[in-house]
Amino acid sequence: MVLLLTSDNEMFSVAEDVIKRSAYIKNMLEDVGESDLPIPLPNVESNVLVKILEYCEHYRGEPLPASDVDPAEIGDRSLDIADWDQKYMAVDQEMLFEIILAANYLDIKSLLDVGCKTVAKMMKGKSSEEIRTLFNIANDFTPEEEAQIRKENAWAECR
Amino acid sequence: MSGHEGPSIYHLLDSNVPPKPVEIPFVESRILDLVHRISELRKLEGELERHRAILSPVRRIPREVLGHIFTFLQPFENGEKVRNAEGRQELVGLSLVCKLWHDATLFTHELWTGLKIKPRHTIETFKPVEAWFSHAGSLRRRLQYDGWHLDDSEAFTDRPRLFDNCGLSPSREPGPCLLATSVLPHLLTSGPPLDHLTLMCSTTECFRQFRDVMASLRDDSANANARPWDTLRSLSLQFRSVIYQWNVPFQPTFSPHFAHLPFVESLKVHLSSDLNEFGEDEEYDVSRLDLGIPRSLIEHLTDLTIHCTWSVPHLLKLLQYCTNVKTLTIDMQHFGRAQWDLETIPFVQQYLASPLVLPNLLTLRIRKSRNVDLLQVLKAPQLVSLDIEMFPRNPVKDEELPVPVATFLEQSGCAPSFRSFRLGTCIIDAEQLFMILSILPSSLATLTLDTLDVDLWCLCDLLKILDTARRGNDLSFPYLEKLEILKVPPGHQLDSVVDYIKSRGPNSKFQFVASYRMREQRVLKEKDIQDSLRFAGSGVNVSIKLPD
Repeated sequence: MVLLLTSDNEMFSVAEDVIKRSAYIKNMLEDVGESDLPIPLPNVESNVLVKILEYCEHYRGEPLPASDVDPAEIGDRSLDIADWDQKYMAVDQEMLFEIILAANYLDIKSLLDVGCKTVAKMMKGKSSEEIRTLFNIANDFTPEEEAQIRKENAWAECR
Repeated sequence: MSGHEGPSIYHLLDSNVPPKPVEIPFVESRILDLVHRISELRKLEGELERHRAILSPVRRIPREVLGHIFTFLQPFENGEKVRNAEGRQELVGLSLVCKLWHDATLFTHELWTGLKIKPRHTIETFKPVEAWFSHAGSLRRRLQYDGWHLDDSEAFTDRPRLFDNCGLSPSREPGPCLLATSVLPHLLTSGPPLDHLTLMCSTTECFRQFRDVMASLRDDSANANARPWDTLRSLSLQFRSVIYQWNVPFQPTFSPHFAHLPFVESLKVHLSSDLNEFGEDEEYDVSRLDLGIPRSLIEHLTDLTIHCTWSVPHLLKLLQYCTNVKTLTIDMQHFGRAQWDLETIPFVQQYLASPLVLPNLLTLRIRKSRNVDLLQVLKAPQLVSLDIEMFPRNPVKDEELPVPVATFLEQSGCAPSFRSFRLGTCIIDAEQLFMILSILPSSLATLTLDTLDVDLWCLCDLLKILDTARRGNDLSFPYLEKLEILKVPPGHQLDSVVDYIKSRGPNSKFQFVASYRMREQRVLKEKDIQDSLRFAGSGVNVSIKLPD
């Protein structure tokens, strides 16, 4: 078992083959070896870790993604999300981004991809203004800056 | 009520009594007061949202993760991985959300690797295209020129045109070839380095003119040897129509269009089906036709895709030099002779006696073909993957598939390396399909049956019988890692497949992936199948995709 300590000081005891889906933890375990000391996760709160562990538990035993991907190649970029993953990601926006942040921190590539796909699906077909409203983002461009970007990319609209 | 002095108007609120003249100014004043307070509250609400935005987790998403999200919004067409006008607008839209998102788009190289341009992108587009690709960093850049079908607005140009064969209706005023006058020749002469080019030409004549312009630009270029055209790694040439030259008496010849292609590793040639008319006509000696791709280039290729209706002799002329090819795709575009009579063709006879060896071939794909007789004259000793898609409307006739596949696999002797078999888009008897599956090497790891019209009950019964006969020995496909049954036809269920998997017992650990063709059909869901297999003690993992 592996002990994990969240940012809000909750301790979790997790089976090694479950949490090894996190490349961060896997590497740490390989580097440090067996230890009774908990691994601190200062960027992950307990409610988020619970959700992350639910994902790792579901995919327990499945092969881990290959790490020898050629960075010059563009991988699969379809927006398809498996049924279970869709249900798993049916959370409020705050939790969705927390999962993405935790997946990024813990280096769980497949979960990061599912989270990013979910956000991409929410954004698809929306204008800049609609995206700002959707995610509560402030427009920090001056009108001149915005006009300049539009001018530089005017050609791109040529069909 | 507020602290305003004056008559009480409270009694008016819950009655229909008209106000007295003295009461009206107080009502009006009260209305103004409320309007003002609502306005203040709206401002506060805006402030509240702005304060909430500070805590919004999206603000904590780092730039690289934002960029990763954006990569899933790539509007790729037919796997080309290039951005058309719509995709470009979408990317510009993302960059206009806020400054952080603008930075995220610019620093995500992957978003800028592919562009699709059209004939109306003239030399004025050179700098913007160059600037676009500069954001791609060291990633491989892909450019697609689409001159396939043009409408009047796409073909707009103020230059007079001399030819009317650029994908436009013949009724238009003739002018210079739009491919030759586009920005493309300039990009390929002095633009940024490219990894891949897809050139979709309306006709071979457009390509001839393009080559002429490229030759003239080469003369002008000080740094002639470093042209992006010359350093392409991958090239796809697609012709909507082919213009043949005619020799006396009435023999079509294919001009030497491909004599000066760049020395690429990956080549895709897509010829239209025009020549099929000749191919079916005994009057012409089609065997004289030759694509004319230099032998040195063919020998250099590791990846070759040929879409053409030319028959076995033409393909063999090409394939005999494919000594380095690892991935070969032959797309017959639904044409080709219904049944090649190979024994009667002199050039083919030698290969019937001694098959043509493709020593490095790992993956062979045959697409939209009426038969796979070509397999009988090929030998691929290192083959890993065989992928066959048939002409979808004609049912496979008796042994039309099993015999060539068996011959090919046997003469290849590829059992140690063979890992993957896919059969797609065909109408086939369960017995025929069973014959094919039972001759596949036991090293098979991935089996895909995609869009087949086949009786799954009958097929699974046959497989069960085979496994029963092998009792005490290995099951069929002992090393299977993935079984895909995709686009199950309407009226068919997966019960038979589930039963078959159950019958294999607990030692089968492969992944089972299935999908249905029609949304309307009553289907077995993923959870039902998972529960059923778990109850039966099977180690198979299930993933079922419902139609979109």
